[in-house]
Amino acid sequence: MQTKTEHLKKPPAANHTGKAALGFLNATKTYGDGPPALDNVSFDLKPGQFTVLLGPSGSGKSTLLRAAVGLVGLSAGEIRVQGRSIAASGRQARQCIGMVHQDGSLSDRLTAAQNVLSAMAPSMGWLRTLFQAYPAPLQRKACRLLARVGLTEDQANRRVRELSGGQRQRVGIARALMNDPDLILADEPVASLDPATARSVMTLLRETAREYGATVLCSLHQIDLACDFADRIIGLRAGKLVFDGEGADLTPRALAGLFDQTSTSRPFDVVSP
Amino acid sequence: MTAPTSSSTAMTGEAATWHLKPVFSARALFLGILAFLLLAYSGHRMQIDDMVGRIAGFALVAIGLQDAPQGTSNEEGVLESMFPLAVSERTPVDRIADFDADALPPFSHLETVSVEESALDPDTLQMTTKTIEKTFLVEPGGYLLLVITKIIETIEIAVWASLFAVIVSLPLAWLSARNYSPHRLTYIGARAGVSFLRAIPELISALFLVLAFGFGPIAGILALALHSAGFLAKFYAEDIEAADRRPQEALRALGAGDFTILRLAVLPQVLPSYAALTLYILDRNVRMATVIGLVGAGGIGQELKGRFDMFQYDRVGTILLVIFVTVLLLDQLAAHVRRKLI
Ligand SMILES: Nc1ncnc2c1ncn2[C@@H]1O[C@H](COP(=O)(O)OP(=O)(O)O)[C@@H](O)[C@H]1O
Ligand SMILES: [Mg+2]
Repeated sequence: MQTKTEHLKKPPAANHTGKAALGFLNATKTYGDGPPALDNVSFDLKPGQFTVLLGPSGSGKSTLLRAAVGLVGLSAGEIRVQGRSIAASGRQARQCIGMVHQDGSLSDRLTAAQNVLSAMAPSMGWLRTLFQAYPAPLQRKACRLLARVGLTEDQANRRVRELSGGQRQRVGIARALMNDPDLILADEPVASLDPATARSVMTLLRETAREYGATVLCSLHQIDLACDFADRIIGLRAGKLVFDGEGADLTPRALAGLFDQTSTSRPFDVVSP
Repeated sequence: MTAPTSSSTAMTGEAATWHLKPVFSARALFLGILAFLLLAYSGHRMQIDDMVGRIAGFALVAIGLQDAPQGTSNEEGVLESMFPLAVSERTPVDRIADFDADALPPFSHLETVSVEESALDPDTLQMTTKTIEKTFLVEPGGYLLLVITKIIETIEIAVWASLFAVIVSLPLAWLSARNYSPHRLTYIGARAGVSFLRAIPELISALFLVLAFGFGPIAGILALALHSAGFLAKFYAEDIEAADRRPQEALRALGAGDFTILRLAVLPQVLPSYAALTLYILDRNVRMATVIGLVGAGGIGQELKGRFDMFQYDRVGTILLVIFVTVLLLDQLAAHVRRKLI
C-alpha cells in the first residue's frame, strides 16, 4: 500500500496557509422569484477534513456546491477558496478544485481514460484539445489514477457507457483527482448506486482524498453514510444551515429537524399511512 | 369492515353514469369537413380530376381494355422510344478528328455500310441519289461508359459539395446554437444566415452560379454546398442545444472554455446524429446534382438535358436507369455506414 500510493502523492501543498480551504459567508441564492434555495449560509471547511453536506432532496446541496465552482452565481454573499474570493479569481480558484458529480457527468462515448484526461484540457492548447493529444506524463498519470480507483487496463480503454454505475463513479473520482486538487467537492456521488457499491465508492473517495491531502465537501441524503464517513456533518434544510456537528450529535430530534416532512410545503411527498 | 365495501359499490354504481369523451368531437368533424371542401376546391383548380381521368385512361390502354386514342399521345410515344436502351455508341469516322484505323479504342470495331445520300448536283442543279460507303466506329459499351463517367462526375460533385457544407456548417452551428453563441447578435446573425442559405433552392442558385462560373462542376458544387450548409448548420445547432448538460457542466466546473467543452463533452454526444445528417445530405446531394445539371452545372444532368432536347429517348432511358441504380447503391452504402457508426 505504501509503495502503491507513494507516487500518487503530490508534493506537500505549499498553499495550506491555515486559511480555510473553502468558506461560505452569508451565501444566498434565489432562482427567479421562488423561495431562496440558499438562505444566508455561512461556514468554513477545515483543511484535511471530510465534511458531509446532509439534507433532503431540494434542500440546496447542489446549489451550494455548484456555486463553489462558479456554475451558479450567488444572489448575495461570498465564497472563498483558500482565502481568495472565487468571484474575483474564478478560474484560478477552480484549478485547485476537483469535482465528483452525480452519474451522467462523464462523456458517454469517450473512454474512461479520455474522460480522466479531459480534466487537463482547460489548460491545454486548442490543437491538442481538438485531437485529444495529451502529453505522455499526463497519460501515465491518468493510468495510475485509473488503476488506483480499481479499473483494469481494458476498462480504462472502454467507452464510459459500457461501464457499470459504480465503475463510472470511480472514473469520476479519478477525473477529480487529475488536477492535484486541494479541495474535492462531491455532489451526491453515490445517489445512483446500490448500498454496497455506494459504500465502496465512498470509501475510495475518503481514502484517495486522504492520500492527496485534499479537503472534501460531499453532499449526501443518506444518513447512515453521512454518519459513517464524515468528520463533520453540515445539515441543510430548505436552504438554511440547521445542523453543524459530528455524526454522534445527530440525535433523533436533530434528524427530525432535517428530514421530517410534515412541516414542509410539499404535501404530495408525504406518504400517507 | 363493511364500510369500505358499501362505499366502493356506491362508487362503481356512480361510475355507470359517467360520460366518456367522444373520440371525434364536433369541432374535429367540422374541421374535417372544412378540409375536405378546401381540397375539393383546390383539386379542381389543380386539374386533379383531369389528372385522375387521364391516368385511368393510360391504365386502361396499358392492360388492353381500351384502344389507344387517336392523335398524339406524348407520354406513350416517349416511353416506346426509350426501348431498347442505348448502350453502344456509333460514330461516323469522318466526324472523329485525327482518326487512326490502326489504333482503335479497346473493344471497338469498324462497320462499313452503304447508304444512299441525296445531294444537289452543282452542275446540273438536279437532285441526284448516289450510294456511298460510310464507315462507323462502333463501341459496344460506349454510351453506357460515357453515362457512368458522367454519374461518377455527379457523385464527385455531391461529395465535394457535402464536404464543403460540413466544413462551413460546423462553425456556423457553433454560432447559431443558443447556448454557445458568443453574443446575442452573433446568434441572431448566424440564425438569419443559416435560414437564408436554406431558403434558396439549389436550382435557382445554380442558375446564377452558372452565369458567374460558366458551365461545369464549379457552379454545381457551390450551389449544393450553400444549401446543404444551411441545412446542416440548423440541425447541428439543434443537436448542440439538446445535448445532455451534465458532461458539459463537469468541464465548465474545471474552468474549461467553450471550445474545449464543445469538443470533449458535446461532439462525442452528437457525433452519431451528425453522421446520420451528413449521410442524408450526401444522399440528397447526389440526387440534386442530377437535377441542377439540367441548368448546365455539370454531371449527368447536363447529359440528360442534352439528350432530352435532341429527342434521343433511348439514351435518356439509359441515363435514368443508371441514376436509379446509383441512388439505390448509395442508399445501401449509407445504411451500412450508419449502422457501423451508431
Ligand atoms: N436551475 C434552477 N432553476 C430554478 N430553480 C432551481 C434550479 N436549480 C435548483 N432549483 C431549486 O432550488 C432548490 C434547491 O435545489 P438543489 O440545490 O438542486 O437541491 P438538492 O441538490 O439538495 O436536491 C430546489 O427547490 C430547486 O427546485
Ligand atoms: Mg442535488
